Amino acid sequence: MKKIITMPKLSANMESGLLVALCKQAGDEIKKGDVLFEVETEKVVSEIESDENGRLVTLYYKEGDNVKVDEIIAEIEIV
Amino acid sequence: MKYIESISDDVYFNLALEEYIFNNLKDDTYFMLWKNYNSIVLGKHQNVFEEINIKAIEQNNIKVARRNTGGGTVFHDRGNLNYSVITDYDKSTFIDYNQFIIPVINALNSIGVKAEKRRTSDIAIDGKKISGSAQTIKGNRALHHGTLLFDADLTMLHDLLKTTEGKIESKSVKSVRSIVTNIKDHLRDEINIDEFQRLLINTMFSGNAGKYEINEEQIKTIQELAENKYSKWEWNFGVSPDFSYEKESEILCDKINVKLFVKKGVITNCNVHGNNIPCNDLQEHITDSRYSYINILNKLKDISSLKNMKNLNYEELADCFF
Repeated sequence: MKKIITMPKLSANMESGLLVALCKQAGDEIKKGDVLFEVETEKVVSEIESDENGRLVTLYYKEGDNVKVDEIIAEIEIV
Repeated sequence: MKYIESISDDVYFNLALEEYIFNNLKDDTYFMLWKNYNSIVLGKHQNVFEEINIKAIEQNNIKVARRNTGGGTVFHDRGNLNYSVITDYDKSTFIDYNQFIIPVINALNSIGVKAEKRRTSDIAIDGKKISGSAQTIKGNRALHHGTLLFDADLTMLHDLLKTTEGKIESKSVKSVRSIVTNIKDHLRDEINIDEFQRLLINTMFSGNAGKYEINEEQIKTIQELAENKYSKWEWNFGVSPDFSYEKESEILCDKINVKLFVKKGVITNCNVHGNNIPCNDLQEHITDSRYSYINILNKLKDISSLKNMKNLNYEELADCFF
């Protein structure tokens, strides 16, 4: 089963967030609680963790990209 | 809420102490106060080379430190009081600055400082910034910290931050410059920063601050973290996003154009154009060097073809790269 990870809305006024760090690459095994990527908005760095065990299949953005809220950042194959 | 007062004015130790509390002390809310000896503190995802005056920083031996929170670059000295709040975070709620900033504003108001909130995360007096803040969120804990300019050296602050005629391009988080002022200049009674700190704590904790003392074993762990992470060039400089740099200058009455590409703090590509200088030798010596002013200056002094050039000022030539 696949699961998509989107840019979270972290503050009431947030329209997009800066994808400041990609901590996993396509093909990487992922455990629940692993940090997938870091988002920065309004001087807040937020570490986005995985809620699932699985494998990162696709990454749609590069480090440094500004991503709109709810846009798909990555796809995970859940095991 | 427990109160921790740092025992050190070393920026690397203090950032390590903050990270230690954030990652290990999860039973309560912790409020920490700390001051640093002269240092520059960057946001986690900033390009250090885009933010600081590298020449002035290296020549004055100023410590440069990358913190774990977002936002821009600030100058710290013993006239600047930092506060940190480490507490629980509810993932289902939005990021909130008010819960951290408003108690500080109230405390400032009650000791006679006409402070008010400005923008999302600043505190100001008459529109001039006295405090900036930033956060990091990990799992169900949040770290909020802020500066309080009490009696800081504002001239030094200005001189150490970036001014370049060169053009830098990178996907980094940029600083937003503000007009700043010191709290001390807005107080009726003359007090020093230690008295200000006591007043602030008494007001924040209603005279009843439960102090948490860091023990020897914890100090050892924190010192190791300071040594292995916060004081490392690889963290403070090397983590910067890749960038390109271009500058046109004049040397020996002729134009010189320098183009660099810097990856993880190291110059991976160097292009120099000019009529009066041995461009190939410069490119060869500079490529694969750390992008540091003193390092580049020393490399230039090693180039044998430059040694015979009359009237060459090595510092002026090094300036062409920054």
